[in-house]
Amino acid sequence: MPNPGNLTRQLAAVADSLGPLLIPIEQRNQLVDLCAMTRLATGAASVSIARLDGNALLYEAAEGAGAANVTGLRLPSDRGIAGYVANTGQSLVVDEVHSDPRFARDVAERIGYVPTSLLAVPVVDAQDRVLGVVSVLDRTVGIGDPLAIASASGRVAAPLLATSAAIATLGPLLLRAVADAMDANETTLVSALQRLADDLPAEDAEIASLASMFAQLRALPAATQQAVGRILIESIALATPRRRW
Amino acid sequence: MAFPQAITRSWAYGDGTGKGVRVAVVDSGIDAEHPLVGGVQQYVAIDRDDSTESGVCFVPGPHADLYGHGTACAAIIRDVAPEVDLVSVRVLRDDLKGSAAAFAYGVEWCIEEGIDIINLSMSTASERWAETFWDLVDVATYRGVLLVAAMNNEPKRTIPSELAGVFSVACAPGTDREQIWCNPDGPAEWGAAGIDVDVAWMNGATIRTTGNSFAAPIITGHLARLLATHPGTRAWQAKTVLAELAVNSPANS
Repeated sequence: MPNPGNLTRQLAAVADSLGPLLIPIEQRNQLVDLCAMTRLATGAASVSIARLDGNALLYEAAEGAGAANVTGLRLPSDRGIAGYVANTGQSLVVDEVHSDPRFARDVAERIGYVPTSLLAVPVVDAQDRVLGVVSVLDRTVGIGDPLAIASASGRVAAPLLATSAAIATLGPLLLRAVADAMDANETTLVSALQRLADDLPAEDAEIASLASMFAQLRALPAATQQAVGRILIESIALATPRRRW
Repeated sequence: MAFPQAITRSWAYGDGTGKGVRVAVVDSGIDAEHPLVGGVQQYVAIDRDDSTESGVCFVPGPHADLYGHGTACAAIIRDVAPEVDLVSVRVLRDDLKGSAAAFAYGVEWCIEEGIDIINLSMSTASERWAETFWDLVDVATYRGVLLVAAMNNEPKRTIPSELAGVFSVACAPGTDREQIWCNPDGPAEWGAAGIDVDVAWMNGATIRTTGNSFAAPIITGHLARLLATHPGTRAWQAKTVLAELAVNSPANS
């Protein structure tokens, strides 16, 4: 007899690799636009934005030379210049990459563009946790200090990458909770999600914990659910800066 | 302040070798085989270990440089003070995620180990680490350990570099490692070459790069020369001497 928990776990693994590809197109377009603006401002040949996903850098957006081949690339973060930036939260400016054998030249050649210089800055959240890396390849004369421009782009990219990470995490996490609940013969997801929240690293635990709270909420009477939902939406609206256009 | 006699380089630096001074590079590791590094005398790697209360463990014995950054810093120190004893304190690993905790444990290890000078070419912008580093800087200062810390390249909080107890360093013009600048108004108190400079990197290579990370080891090297010549020099004394030797010192105008 097929094990439903096991099947769901396989589904979670598929969602884990597929999830990042299904991040809303609009969101990806914004990151591409940000790459384009950064490229214009720094006079660079190419700009990319990668999201730190576990121990890998997932290139979510790129603009310029080799962009089509960079987008979607997943590279280990334990190597290279972008890896250093992702693991330290410190920016790094290298003017002659060619002489750096650690620079993944094979990767660069595969994407069809080998840069001479590389400037990489971390994208961090409010707690200074690294969310990703902005890489500027072969900058020329731009409109100002390229490090400052790339840093500003990093600040704009931060909430976009945080959302990407949340979307990429949530689907597989819910499926894992379903699998665990099936294994434990549970009829609700509340406990399974809470167990995941206890086991997962802090960044994923927050989402699991939130999902557990929503699972509890769904068990309450419809009127209570509606009231809590309205309070949440109003609170978020209050905390969100208002658009002026 | 004008001294009755000028502080000279020969008085301050002696033979300029930094002989016997123990200098720790708290970074990505050091490649001892790099021709510009000239050997590493001691290693410790801070690794993640969930079985310990702190969540980390200290692994002695040779290790590799994971990114090249620590090798760059070590080679600069070796160039300025060729006979120092280099200690590689590796605090970067993929699974540490550049955690400020690992930096802090690295600095703490150096203080307990009685290291003479700590070179920290990295920092955190996270304010929740301010108090930890404040305490560490105070302990280091009163134990006579000199802590050199690069300012962040970007204009944001930079801990522990912004604390007055450390030798905080940013880039100054030129590529001459003999030249140092003093900016007593801070928060970058010291300046040294770090723009378009050639530094050692992975696998025996060199790269041309820019960053405060590469200015800090120059100050570390100058301090090593001073400490070899005048053992027991305290941070406040060393700052006085370096300020007098700085290219922008009134004594040199």
